[in-house]
Amino acid sequence: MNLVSQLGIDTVEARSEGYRRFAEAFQYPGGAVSTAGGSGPSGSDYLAVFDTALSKEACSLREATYASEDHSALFEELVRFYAYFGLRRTEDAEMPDHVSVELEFMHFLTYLEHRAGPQEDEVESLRRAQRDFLSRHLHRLMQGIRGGLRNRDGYYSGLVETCAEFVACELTSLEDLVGKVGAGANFVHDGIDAYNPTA
Amino acid sequence: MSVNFDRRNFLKGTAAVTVSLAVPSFVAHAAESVVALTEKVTPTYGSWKDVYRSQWTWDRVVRSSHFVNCWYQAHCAWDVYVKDGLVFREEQAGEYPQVRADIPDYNPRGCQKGGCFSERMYDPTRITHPLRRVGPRGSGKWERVSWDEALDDIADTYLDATVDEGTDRTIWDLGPGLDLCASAAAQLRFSMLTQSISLDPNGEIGDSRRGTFETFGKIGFERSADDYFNSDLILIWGCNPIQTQIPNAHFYLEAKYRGARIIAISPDYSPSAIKSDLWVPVRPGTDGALALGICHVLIEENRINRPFILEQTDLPLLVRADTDRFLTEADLKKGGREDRYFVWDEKTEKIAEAPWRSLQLGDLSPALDARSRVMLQDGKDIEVQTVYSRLRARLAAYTPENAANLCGTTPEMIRRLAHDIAASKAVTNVAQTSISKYYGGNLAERSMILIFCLTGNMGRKGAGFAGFPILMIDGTDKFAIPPTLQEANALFGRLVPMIEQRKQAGDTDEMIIGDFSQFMFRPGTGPMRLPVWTPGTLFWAVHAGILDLSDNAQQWNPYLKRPLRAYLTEALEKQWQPLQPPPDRDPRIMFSLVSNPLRRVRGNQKLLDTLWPKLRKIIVLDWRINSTARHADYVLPAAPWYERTNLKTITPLSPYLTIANQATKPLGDSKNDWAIIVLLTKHIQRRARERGITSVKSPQGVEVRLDRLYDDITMGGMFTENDEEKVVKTIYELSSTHKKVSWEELKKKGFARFERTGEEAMSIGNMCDFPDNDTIVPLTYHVQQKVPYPTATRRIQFYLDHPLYEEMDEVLPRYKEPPSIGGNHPLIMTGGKTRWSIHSTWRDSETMLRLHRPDPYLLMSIGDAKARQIQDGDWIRVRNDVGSFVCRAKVSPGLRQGQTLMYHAWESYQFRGKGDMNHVAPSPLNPVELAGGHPHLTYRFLSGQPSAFDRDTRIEVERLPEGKTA
Repeated sequence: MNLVSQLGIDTVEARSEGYRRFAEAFQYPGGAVSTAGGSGPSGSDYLAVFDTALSKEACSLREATYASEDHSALFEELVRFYAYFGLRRTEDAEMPDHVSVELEFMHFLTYLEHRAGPQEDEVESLRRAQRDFLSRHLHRLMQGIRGGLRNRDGYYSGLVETCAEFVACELTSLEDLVGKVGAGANFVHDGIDAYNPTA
Repeated sequence: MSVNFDRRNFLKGTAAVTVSLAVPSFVAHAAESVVALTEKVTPTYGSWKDVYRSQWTWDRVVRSSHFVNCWYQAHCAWDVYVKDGLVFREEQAGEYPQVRADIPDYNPRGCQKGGCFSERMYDPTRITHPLRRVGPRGSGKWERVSWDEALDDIADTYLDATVDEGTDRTIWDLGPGLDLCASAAAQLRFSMLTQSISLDPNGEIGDSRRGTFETFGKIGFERSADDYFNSDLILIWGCNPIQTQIPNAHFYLEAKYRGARIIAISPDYSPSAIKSDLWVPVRPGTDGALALGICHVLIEENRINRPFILEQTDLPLLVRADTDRFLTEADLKKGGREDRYFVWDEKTEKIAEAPWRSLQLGDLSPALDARSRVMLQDGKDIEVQTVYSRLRARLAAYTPENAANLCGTTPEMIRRLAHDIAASKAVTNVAQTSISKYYGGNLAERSMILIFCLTGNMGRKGAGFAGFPILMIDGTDKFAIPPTLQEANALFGRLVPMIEQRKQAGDTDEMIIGDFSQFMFRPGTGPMRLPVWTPGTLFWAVHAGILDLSDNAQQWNPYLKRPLRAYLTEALEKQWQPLQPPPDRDPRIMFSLVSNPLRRVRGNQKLLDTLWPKLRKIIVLDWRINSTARHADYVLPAAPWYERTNLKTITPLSPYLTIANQATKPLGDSKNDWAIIVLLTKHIQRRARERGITSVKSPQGVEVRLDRLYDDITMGGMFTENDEEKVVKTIYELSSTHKKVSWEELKKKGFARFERTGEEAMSIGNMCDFPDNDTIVPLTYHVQQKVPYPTATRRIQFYLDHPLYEEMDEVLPRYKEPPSIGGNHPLIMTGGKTRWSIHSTWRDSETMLRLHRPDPYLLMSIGDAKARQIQDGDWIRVRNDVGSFVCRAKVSPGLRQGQTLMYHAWESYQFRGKGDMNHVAPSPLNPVELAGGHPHLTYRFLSGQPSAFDRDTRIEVERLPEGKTA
């Protein structure tokens, strides 16, 4: 039994809420400033685990770290994904390849799926988008984070494992529903450069 | 971390909640809100290719730049492409106009570092929130804090230290990347108002060009890079411009295609030597011997330019045989002046006063090689001889054969170089600050300058010795120093009578402005309240204990007659050199602005163990977490260049003022330097008022008003923390260097050519016009208009009759064997700038690291590697008497045996284990650099202060056992 069925997050509402919670959990605790004294992990814990600028032991929450393409190509595709569904990153947000932003985008797509209700075409269209976004970005990112995490104990280890598992389950489930991404759908494939697909 | 993650609890109830939308990272493109967006028709999605079907557009393209300290190659106009509040890419603007049809233009300007800055500024090293350490210094444990929390804490510590211990306990460590505009204005106003101490970095980074300073009385002069096209012989001597001047390198190569010859003189077969017509390899640190050998040939074969020498240099001046001092008017008549010098006039066969208002000789016909007798005012009959005669005697030892033995080339090569130089119409050298990083660099530079002077290659198109290239706008001081802009005219007007008086007495603008900068090193003594500067090298030597590393300096250097500490004590006691705070007053607070001393300072291991414990707060302002930030108490996130509007100028090589327009908002909580410093004053003022503190007196008695610091730095609210662009615009409009291009035009174009030199201490040294349709040739006011030089003799001066020079036998240029700095070890560790970074700014950039070997490495010769069973790529330990570090060996056929080379600026955390490349570099003081009490051998802004030396550090290298990397 996988995580999704184990924890009963197999409805679109639960999935959307799950993405939202994961997105929040990967933000600096308590917003921009320290939450010393709170019950969750502290800001210094978060920085020690995830801020690669501050700690050699940290693992990055940015997809660019695990991507082979250059950052502008990666940003472009992410921004195109967001823009395709009418979104634009706010200037105060984390970078477009930050895990919380990508999770938030999945929260948005699943929310749209929830809104679509019984309209099958729209639901299928949104599921294809979710599958592609997970396949091309968020799954790669979560696998990267999972592989890069040095500290296997504690709150963030559990969070990463759970989120990675959730994302993997989501991808599998979506592939079951709408099929796998076509062959060669990696970033550059079949002679089509994703950065310049008309070339 | 004690909190555990409970996945069940975390996801509990997800199925039960009423789903609601929360996407704080996004806004809607074309709807009132994201919620409104969800009520619209959702686009149909087929595959990922659909997202690529619409034409990509940019929100805007902004003309900007990178104000990194790339100095000689700085700066370049770039187009910066912005989408969704992020910079995606940059592209060289390439719009520099043609200056003249028959010389190459400046396009496109830029290098691979600038070309990837949009990646660099968003990579994981970027800091976006104020950070406070939560563990011991250097433990790597941090938390984010609000600006208010950080600045209140810093303000309280500042007030405690200032009230309890003095205004001079707060130090500004300033890196050479400082912008000289908005950031500098904020820091200078802070220093001026609080009398806190600014460290002059130029000596400490080894750029103060002592030999140039000794000879010309200044260091700042250089041509525009396109003027190299007018040369017919270019010496790449002590530099590596193909690697380190990427935007300028084409000028040298284009000159070569036109027919100029390029001769590279360097120990190693450098990337620039590869492009030369002739490579002359010399032993490291022996350039002076080569230069003196060339001078010997020029003089012995009489291939010298007598008119130039007689008019422009001190070589015809007379020196007393009994005292070895110049013969002056004070020797000859009662009440005579000590700054009037004499020549032997061949026409009258008598001594005659050397002209001093102008270099023009008039009816005089000075003898060059003369010896005679004169009667002094006290009746004493003494022998005098010209400097040239003494010089010739000194050069007798430097026959091509002897010089070749010293420097490792052949006598034939020395003769060939001398003949080539003598036969060329316009000889120049490429600007460098490598020679000055050798302990005997001053002597080598003086010897090199002698070649140019003997042959008259100075102050002409394509001809001339290259000084330190510097060119600045002069609006920054005009903005930073007056209490308010309204008071500026009255304040600076107070100087007019003094200036007029000096001019009437024969002094030049250059002399007067140069001398003015000395007031900033003597707080409380100037004609107005000024920022306070102190020599960085001396600060680190004394307060960080770096001098301790050179306790064995006399063993390393047989020319030293006393311990270094004795020379320093003498210099401080006689006030030849300033030091703020004095040795008995420990610094308490250090702000590091655009700087990185734990990466940069030679012997930096002493900073952590000696200086750090004295400091109650260490605050780093930067956009990335550099070596110093890792050991700070606070790191304040500064906005990098694309996130602010600012100006920077650096060098006549590219005689353009460049603007960086703000392309995007500062990321996260970042703020520009102006805002950070002004906000700090706001917190200091508020906390001072809350604590009932009004003012304190500096040690010199200057009143510092702490309760109105914000009001004063902002000029009564005229320039608040939100007004950086307004500050920059004001500085631009105050500058006398640009009157033809409006602020709006500058913002649009991205650059504006200098119309003249600024009226400030460094730029004025160029002493030349800045034509808009021709190349820029420095020193023409001296050479062509006969304006005296700012030296004691008012001429290019090779004879330095100062007690320290006498003690060190450096009154005239000579060669000294490089000392064994760091102990008696067989290898010499040379250095140079890397191709892949500007200082440490890109040193750990993943993009750049992919282009070369990503671990710190030491280049060594095949022979030296073989003798130590070292193979290319092996891990090695580099050590000497003062420290050690671990890196990889890069075995290179381009290096000579005995030489190793460590390219610049690896961050300390890039080394494995303890120790970095500066740990083996004790950088002992050179006594002559402590000189003072002399008309021109005295401290001033960026020069006349002690330097740092790392080029002749001695080391041994050993291979680490298999499997060990630290």
